[in-house]
Amino acid sequence: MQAIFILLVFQLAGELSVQLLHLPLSGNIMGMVLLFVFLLIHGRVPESLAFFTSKLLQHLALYFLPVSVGVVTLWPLLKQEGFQIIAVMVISTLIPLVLCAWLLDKMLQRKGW
Amino acid sequence: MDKLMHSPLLWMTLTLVAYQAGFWLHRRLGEPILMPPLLWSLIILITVVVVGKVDYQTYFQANSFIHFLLGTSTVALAVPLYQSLPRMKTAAIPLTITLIVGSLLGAGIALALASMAQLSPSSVLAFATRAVTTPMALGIAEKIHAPLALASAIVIISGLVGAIAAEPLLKFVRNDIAKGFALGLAAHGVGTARALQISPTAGAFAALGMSLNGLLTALWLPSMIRWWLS
Repeated sequence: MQAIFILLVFQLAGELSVQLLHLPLSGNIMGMVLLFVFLLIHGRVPESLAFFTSKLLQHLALYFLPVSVGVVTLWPLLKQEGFQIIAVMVISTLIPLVLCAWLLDKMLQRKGW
Repeated sequence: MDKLMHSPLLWMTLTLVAYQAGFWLHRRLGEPILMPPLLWSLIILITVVVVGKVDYQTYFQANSFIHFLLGTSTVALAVPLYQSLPRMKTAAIPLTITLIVGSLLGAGIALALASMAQLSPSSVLAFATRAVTTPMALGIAEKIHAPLALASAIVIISGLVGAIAAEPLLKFVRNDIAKGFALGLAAHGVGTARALQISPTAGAFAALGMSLNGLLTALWLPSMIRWWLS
């Protein structure tokens, strides 16, 4: 219960600060930043929060489903430009993925990791 | 009956059943790497929505609680982020360099390819936010006037692409930190979910890559687009 309370308070604080200060971020990311700063000041993660978060994040994929089903609304567009869109999507995802993994791996290897 | 057709009870249950069924199918089929559970769940849901002629808004509204948890989970990512802090400090410079490269490449390649493929201007804009996690991408898309539904679909599907390709393409990468960080950078939320399956370390660094990339991209992209369009 304490963990849910903490998360919701920070989610709300993030949303409020974004709306009141007209920040270019989304409220949820701002909430994450605020919670991170809180943890830095607090010096440790409350036990119940650590437990609840690991359970919550285990099912992260589930929370993407409602938005993802939204592709059904894009059918007319996909019929027109679908092939190009998919090609661009695949290439522009894979290049940064492989390049960043390779770059970081090489740099860490140099440090003896 | 009509009331049931609009109720969270029906559509939320359907989402949860599809989510579970995705895992079940994945296991039954011998855990194929190229078809992760999430993809099965999506296929099931889209089939039901299309075949049943369900209005997407009705489905989405009935599932708003599950969607709400996406926001709560984003906030919760601060916890693994904080827990990875000691390791983050020891590799601060390599991580920073990779982050900058990833942020610039993620949006840059997508935009360049989209305009090269001669997509309509609004589709090109929707690609600008490809590399950023959904809630943030929608925030940025609004700022640069890109079509929201397409932007969010591109973000999610490219996340799926990254998550699916992770296993075969990242075989040569030895360090879980590099695997996770790159997954978070290039494939955001879905990539982070995938990285969590690889190891807790990979998951933590994926969350780190995703959130840092989101923050950094939100800072430079909108002004860049304004300059590009002018």
